[in-house]
Amino acid sequence: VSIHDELAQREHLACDLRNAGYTRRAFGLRGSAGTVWFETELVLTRPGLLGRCAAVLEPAIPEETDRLAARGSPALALATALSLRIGIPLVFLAEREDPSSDDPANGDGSPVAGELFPGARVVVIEDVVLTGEHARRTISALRRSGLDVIALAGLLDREQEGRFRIEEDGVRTFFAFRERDLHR
Amino acid sequence: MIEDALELEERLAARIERMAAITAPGTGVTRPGFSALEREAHRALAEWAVEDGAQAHADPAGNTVVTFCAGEPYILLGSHLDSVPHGGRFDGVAGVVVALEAAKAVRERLRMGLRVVAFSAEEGATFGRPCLGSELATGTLAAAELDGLRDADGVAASERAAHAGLAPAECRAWITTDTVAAFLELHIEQGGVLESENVRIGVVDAIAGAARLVVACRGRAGHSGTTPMRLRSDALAAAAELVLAVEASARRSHGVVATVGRLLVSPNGVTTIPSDVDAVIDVRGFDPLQQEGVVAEIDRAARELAARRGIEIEVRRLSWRDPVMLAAWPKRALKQACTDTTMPFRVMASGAGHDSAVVAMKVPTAMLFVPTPHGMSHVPEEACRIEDLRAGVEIMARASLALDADVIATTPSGA
Repeated sequence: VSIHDELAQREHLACDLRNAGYTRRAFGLRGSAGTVWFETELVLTRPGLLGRCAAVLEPAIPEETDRLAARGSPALALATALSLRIGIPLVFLAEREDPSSDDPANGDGSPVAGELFPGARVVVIEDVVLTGEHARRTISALRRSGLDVIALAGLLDREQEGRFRIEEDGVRTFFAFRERDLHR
Repeated sequence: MIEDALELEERLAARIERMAAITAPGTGVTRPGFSALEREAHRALAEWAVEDGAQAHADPAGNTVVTFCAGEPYILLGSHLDSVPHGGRFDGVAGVVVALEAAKAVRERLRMGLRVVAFSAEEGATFGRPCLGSELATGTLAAAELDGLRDADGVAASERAAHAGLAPAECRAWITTDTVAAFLELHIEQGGVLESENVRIGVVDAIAGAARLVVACRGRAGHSGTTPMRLRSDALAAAAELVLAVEASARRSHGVVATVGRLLVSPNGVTTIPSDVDAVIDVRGFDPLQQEGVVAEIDRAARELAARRGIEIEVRRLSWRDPVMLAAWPKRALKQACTDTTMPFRVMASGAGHDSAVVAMKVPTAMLFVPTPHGMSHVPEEACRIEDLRAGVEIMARASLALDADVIATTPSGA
């Protein structure tokens, strides 16, 4: 199989993501039942995987995008790699110590760092989306800062309804892979 | 977990000795894939299975599977039993004998299935393509392709297999996510990293891909005494520059190694300017983009050389194999087992190909290395300390138990 073949490259990346990312453990946190999860840090800390993950997100970034936005280390690593590829600047959002304070109803929202301007068109970069809560908080923080969130581009949709919730918030989504793509 | 270390070491040593005796004449071990000798080795394994209270059967491709605990999905442990010509006694065999001992140690405590495999025809030296048995077992190789693979005598792999009583065309892909929960392989490192760092176990996280290129340099022959330097088109001088460009390119790319292992020079005379050189280049990397990058640089260097030196240079790809990531989940179990037994270990990549790279494309796969003294492998002097194999048994047994617990806990209806 030639590396030049786009489909083969994608299938190979899916295989590497499955191998590098999925892990399972007999005992979950606080004595809960065993869990299978995608450990995004194991994937995005490897340059070979990070670069390829950024490459598959590239087609999802609309031409009119002014900024890529990311919150949390894995998403930020992915957004940085993508920014290096396509030259669109980043904005960073700090992870809040108290997640409840990210609730849009609470007023202030997360600080957004980077060069901003009102109405800037932003694409949120996410590594993995499960329930979508993390992404939705990011989106609302960006909106509170006066930015126009035009899309969300994620590496993996774990198909736990997160994508639908984000879209209900009025944001288009693109995912490079769905859970089922990695388990074929 | 291992009750009598001395007894275990004696058993490991005796089985390795027994396998080493199954060889063609000459120095070292010669046991080609799809040969009568390989089948004899697999029969010895089947006898050991009976001794160990398990059942063995071979699939039509000659992969022997020893069932310790019935049921699916199962944990699969193993390696291969064929060898390169005049190779060593530990390559592959170590992984099979360790797998048997690890399986024996945990069989009573496992809730899911447990099997040991010895894959056939792993060494690429025989037919120019490695891992034929595991490729047939995973369904990544069509049996018809065996007709096009030939050994040094020009005999097709399919014909050799048939002669050894095998029928690869009848082999169904039996390694699937439904049947195999995880595959673990122990192998000798075949390099000197573990020994140089005084570490006893290597947990493999990736297996290198490989690109093979042939670069044909076409210059002009001439008399070495009468042709002035300015009028020459010396293919070997161009190839020499290319060799250095290959080395420089690999040095710039972390994790990539590149070797010009063969130069065919023509006319290869003392007083004739070389007109034709074919260089064969092996590029290996752990990241497909880096591997591709080095290949692209070699291509660019060749074009630049051709233009500057006024000769024709053609770069052709003979083969391409992608690097493979091994699976985080069983790898974690191996690392945890090392930590729990205070076994010095490191995470490392494998520059050599293994059956694990094939199996990892289908099911969660992890691999551990034990040190190879002086880094020597594929030679009769190949060595391995028995106490390191004993350590391997311990790690593999503990990891198997952990994987069993993980699968049971994360399978809704139980395994």
